[in-house]
This record gives sequence, structure tokens and C-alpha cells, in this order.
Amino acid sequence: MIIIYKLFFGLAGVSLVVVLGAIFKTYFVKE
Amino acid sequence: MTLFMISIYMVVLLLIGFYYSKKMESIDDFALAGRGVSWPLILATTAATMIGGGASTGSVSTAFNSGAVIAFTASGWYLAFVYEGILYAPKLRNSNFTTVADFFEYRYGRYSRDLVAIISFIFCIGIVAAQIAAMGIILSATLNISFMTAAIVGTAIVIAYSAMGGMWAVIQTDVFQFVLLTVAFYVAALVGLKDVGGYEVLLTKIPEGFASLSGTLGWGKAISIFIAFFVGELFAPYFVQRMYAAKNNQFAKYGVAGAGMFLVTFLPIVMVTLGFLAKVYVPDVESGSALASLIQVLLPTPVAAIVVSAMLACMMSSCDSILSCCSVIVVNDFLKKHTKKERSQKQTLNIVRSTTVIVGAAGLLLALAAPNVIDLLLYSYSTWAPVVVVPFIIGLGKNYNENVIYSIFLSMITGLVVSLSWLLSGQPLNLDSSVAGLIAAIIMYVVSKPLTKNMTLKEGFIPITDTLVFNENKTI
Repeated sequence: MIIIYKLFFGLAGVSLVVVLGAIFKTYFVKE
Repeated sequence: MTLFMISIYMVVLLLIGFYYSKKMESIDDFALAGRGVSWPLILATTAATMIGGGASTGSVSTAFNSGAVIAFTASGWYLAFVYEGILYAPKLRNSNFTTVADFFEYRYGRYSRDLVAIISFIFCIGIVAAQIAAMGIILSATLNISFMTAAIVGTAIVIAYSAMGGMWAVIQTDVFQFVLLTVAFYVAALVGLKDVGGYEVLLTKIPEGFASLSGTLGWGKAISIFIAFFVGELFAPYFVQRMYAAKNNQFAKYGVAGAGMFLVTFLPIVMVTLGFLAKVYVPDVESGSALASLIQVLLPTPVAAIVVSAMLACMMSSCDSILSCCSVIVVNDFLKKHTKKERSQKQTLNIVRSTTVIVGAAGLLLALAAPNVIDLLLYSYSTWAPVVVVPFIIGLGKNYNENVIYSIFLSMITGLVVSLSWLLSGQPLNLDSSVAGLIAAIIMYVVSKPLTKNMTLKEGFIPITDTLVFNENKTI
């Protein structure tokens, strides 16, 4: 059970970084 | 410190509204940001609109009371975005529709359009008033001012930036609020986990059964809630508006389905962790204030002030989106369709801005003077899925033709009547009223289709396709 919670919390962090990266790219990186 | 943080936060919102007010030239700009929004912004605004009171403080409160079951049930909300994002968002973007009612006019004629417009309006204004009330509670508690002052200040700011900058301002403020609330909640959970000694310790300190995915509710009840959440906000007006606002059909798909993927991987675990931490740190508080109390006990003042702003961001980002949607419904579905007068783009823009102020003020009045009416308006939440899901799925599918129009209308009326009756009779059989209404709507559609397919369509049921355009395979 503990490992599942840790995995999901880690996945949440990865998910957040990916989405923030995509938003950052939209505003600050010219295609 | 909290007052300082909240003041900065609100000034930023107003500046964004003012900046985008200069870019408004037409109703398309105001309602749909000129239909030119990239997918990461569609993702952020969809997620920020979804994360209102229910998905934030409400989820923490359920985790505090019943354990990890909220991770399973709330996934119903988020998986609905993956479903409608992949299957329906690209098709809906291939149109020049502005509201949900436009789709009904194009597919099913005037009567279905008007029925959906009325329910959309009641549905939206009820949620606006509820979010204003939630916003007032948080502001008054943190700033130590009266509920009335807090609700007026919060609503005035939301109305100001929504009316000035329309959908562009709503989307940009949503992005800002999305970043603030996701980072703040993740950091709060991380700090709490570090302080308590990680999941190894946390899971031993919570009551037995809390850590399992069915929590203390049991699988029967949990599955029933999951289904109700999944169908509850399918094709909700403010989410469909975001599909229309995307730059093209692929962006609509990535934005909406991406929001679902993000929410399902991020929010349940973070909210459950915060709920469990509240159970350990502030076990005796009332569950509704579990998150606010945890923040005060756990976090240093500057960080706590940021998280309080994030809680406010949850309410405001939902309130602005639904308020803007509500005023567009009034102008597009009622004023434009029922008056023949020709208006210039500038006149229409002024009307929709004034409508935003009036609708916002009406929401505020309801929150201040008639909380019981809000409960009544929120009854419409149960009727939404039974009325719109079958027509959307059939109308966007390959089997649509004009022979289904009568059976669709009958299914809408059946869904409406059954869901309301089910709700008023106390939701028997442990079945949510929206699910009961949807089942009845499906049965009515299947039974009445062979009986009505050869009937001649009367005026009012004939699809209106002279100004609306819908091409399933190409972005308009």
C-alpha cells in the first residue's frame, strides 16, 4: 500500500512538471 | 501577510482583465477568445474551472471523513474529460457554434434549443451563486471581515475582469490561478509528508480502512458515486465553450483530454494526502474546514498565505468561467435568438459586458439573501446529464438523421422529469438522480425511435442550419 501511495504522489509531481512545462513553452518559447 | 498576498493576487487578476479589455472586438472574441486558444491553455482553463469548491476543499473534507474513496469517486469527473475530449471535442470544434444550445438548434430545432438554453442558464447561475458563497466564506474567515463584505469584494473583482476582458481574460487568469493552486497544494502536501515522516508513518496514523480505495463507504456506494460524477458534468456549457475556443480540432482534443489526464494523475492523490494529514494534525475540527485548519497548523505564515490564495483561486477560477458562460447564454441563446433587431459587433459587445455585470450581481444577491434558492437552482445539476447526454452522443454520431428528432425530444423531457422526481423522492435504490434520469432517457429514446421515425417534423422541431455551420471532418 505504501509503495502505491508513493508511486502516485511521484506521478502527480511528474504530471505537474510536464503541464507547467507545456504552459511555459506556450508563453515563452517562440515556434 | 495573508491580506498582502490576497491583495497582490487580486491586483494581478484586475491587470490581466484590463490588458485583455483592449483586445475585444466581437462577440467571438468575448465568448470564445476568437477561437484561437492553444492546447496547454485549454488544458489549464478546463482544469482550473473543474477545480472549484467540490474538487478542492470538498475532496479534502471527504478524505478526512471517509478515507481514500474520494480518489476513486472524483476520478469519475476527470475521466469524463478524457472520454469527451477524445471522442467529441474535435467534432464540436468543427463548427461555428457559440453555446451548447446552438448545437441543439442545428441538430434538433427550436424547441430542444430553448429547453437546453433554459436549463443551461439555471445550471450556471446556481453554480455561480454557490461559488460566490464559498469565496465569501474563505475570504471572510482569512481576512476576519464580514461574509457580506467578503462576498461583495470577491464578486466585484471577478465581475470586473470577466466583463472587461471576456474569455481571454478568464483564460489568462485561469492559467495564473491553475499554476498557483496546483503548485501550492502539491507543496503543502510535500511539506506535510516530510513533517509527519512520510507515508510509512502517515498510513499508520489514520483510522482503519481509510487507506483503501473504497475507504469507509464500501464498493457499492463508491461505484454509484463514481458513475454519478462521470455523467454529472458531461458536455457542461462552460466545458463545451472551451472546446469551441480551441484553435483547431486537435487542440480541442489535446486540451480537454489532457486536462482529464492531468487531473486524474494529480488531484486525487494530493487531496487524499492533505485529508489524511488533516486527520493527523487537526483531528477534531469540523470536516468542512479541515484544509484551512491544516494549513494554519502545518505551514509557516508566508506559505500558508499562498495556499489560502490558492483556495480562493479554486473558487474564483470556476466562478469567472461559469459567469462568463452564463452571460454568453443570455445574449446568444435568449436575446439574439428571440429578437430580430440587427446589432453591430460593438453594441453586442456592450450588451454582453452589461449582462456579465447583471448576472454576477444576481449571483451575489442569491448568495447573500437567498441561500435556499441556490439549493433549488442546483437541482438543475441533476437534470443536466439526463437532458443533454443522449442528444449529444446521437447528434455527434454516424447514425444521426432527422428521423430521431422526436424520440430525442421525448428522451430529453423524460430525463428531465425522472431526474427531478427521483431527486424529490430522496434518491431511492441508492441511485443518484442524474443516473436514474439518464437511464430513463436512454430507454425512452430506444422505445420511441421506431414509433416516431416516420412522423413528419412540425415547425419547432426542424433543424435550423441557415447561419450555423458544422462540418464533422474539418475545423471551421
